[in-house]
Amino acid sequence: MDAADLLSRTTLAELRGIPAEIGAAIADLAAGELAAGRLDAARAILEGLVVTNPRDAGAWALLAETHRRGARPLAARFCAEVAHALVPGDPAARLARAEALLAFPDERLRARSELAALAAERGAVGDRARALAGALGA
Amino acid sequence: MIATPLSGAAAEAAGLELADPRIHTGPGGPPPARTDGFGPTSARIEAPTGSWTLPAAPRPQPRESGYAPSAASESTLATFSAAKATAAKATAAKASAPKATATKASATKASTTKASTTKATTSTKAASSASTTVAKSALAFLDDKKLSIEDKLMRFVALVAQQADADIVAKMKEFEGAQAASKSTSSSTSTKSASSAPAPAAAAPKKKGFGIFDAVKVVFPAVGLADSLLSNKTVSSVVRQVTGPVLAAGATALGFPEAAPALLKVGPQVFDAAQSLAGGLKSALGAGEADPPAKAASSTASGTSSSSGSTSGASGSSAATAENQQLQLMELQRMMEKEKEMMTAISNTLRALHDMRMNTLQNIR
Repeated sequence: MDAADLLSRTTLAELRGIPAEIGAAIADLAAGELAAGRLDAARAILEGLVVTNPRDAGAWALLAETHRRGARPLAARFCAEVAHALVPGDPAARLARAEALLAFPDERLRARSELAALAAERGAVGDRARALAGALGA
Repeated sequence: MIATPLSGAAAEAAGLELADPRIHTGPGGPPPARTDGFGPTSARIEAPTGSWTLPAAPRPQPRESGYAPSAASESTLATFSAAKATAAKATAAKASAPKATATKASATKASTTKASTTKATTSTKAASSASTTVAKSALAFLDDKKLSIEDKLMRFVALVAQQADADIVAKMKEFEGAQAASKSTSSSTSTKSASSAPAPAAAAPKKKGFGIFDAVKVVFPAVGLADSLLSNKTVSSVVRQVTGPVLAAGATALGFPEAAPALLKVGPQVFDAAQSLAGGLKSALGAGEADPPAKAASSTASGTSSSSGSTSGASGSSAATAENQQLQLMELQRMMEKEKEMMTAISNTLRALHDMRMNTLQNIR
């Protein structure tokens, strides 16, 4: 299956007429739950969101973070890999994947080098990557 | 206060914040000097009131949104109001239906007494029409002009709850019956295997229709998982950690939407099934010994393994029964949730009506 075929598939969000603003609002809601430490609520919201629109890389990245904070590193990696596959060059997706990879001893070196590369980025991605790289002593 | 050296990711996973002056790179300048008596460490975590916070993880920008255009929300509202109007028309049509149905029922009854040859079919028809009449007459209060909308809603709630309860009880009885049947089947199987000589092929259960193994056969070649991948513990763990719908969404996002329905239906169990299928294929093709977990799984689920035929047959049927029971329980859960949603919707409607009237009264005052 090629990319054009994949992108031509209709999502549930498109079928139900859910605009991107609603998706962003739901993701914000989940981010709020995540920030408040209510991981189960955040997970439930985000799972619904990725089912509604599997092409929402932001939702996948947030779900990866939720799993990471819930001590489910494999699930976190799965979600981060999906986010990265959806938007391969996006720094935020790369950061999410690097953070997910940190939990795996075999992949830690790759994660560190990715964090080091992302540390040169500007904005929130760079700030977080620099902080993590510093904490890891890179 | 905790003073354990810890990596950034681990600290975040623990829900704590890092506090190390060396790693501060935020725009607010260096954090104030620590006064808690601890010296600087490579990475220290402290209570959430720490002087340094890890910046929030940013979200990637979607390349292809997958959402509907913004204008669609208005059309959704228009569709909703149109659907509402259609439903209102349908309700009005239903309200006028009971009289006609009752006439039909009496006519059917009269014809039944005359024609004795078609008694069975006619009585069935009469019974169904009678039940329809009962259902319609149960909703007859909707036409009562003396009743307020609240009264009608309350009666409707009671009726719906009664029907839902009856459905749930019927489902529970069905579940109980299935359990009893499976018990009797397993006991007869064990009696047979104890009395007769071992017959591995005969003891293996045969499934009809499109079962889980057929689904796996369809799904896994599409996903491209090889035998080595199936026996990979990492893959096994991730599939067990991620729920079915998310797995299906992931498959869709990664370019395998054809795998989504099966993954959605069976979720993490698909992996066990795939493992057992791989083990079964290996042993059938004589390609050497399957790895122990796959072999064990294959003997449990498929029952085609050569060792201990009767045991694997019994365990295979018990696994299938357990799966059926789980499905029935899920169906029960779905019915309960449906009832709850209906009740919530009606309760919200009543509350909205009440609030509306209260607001009107307050405005008049």
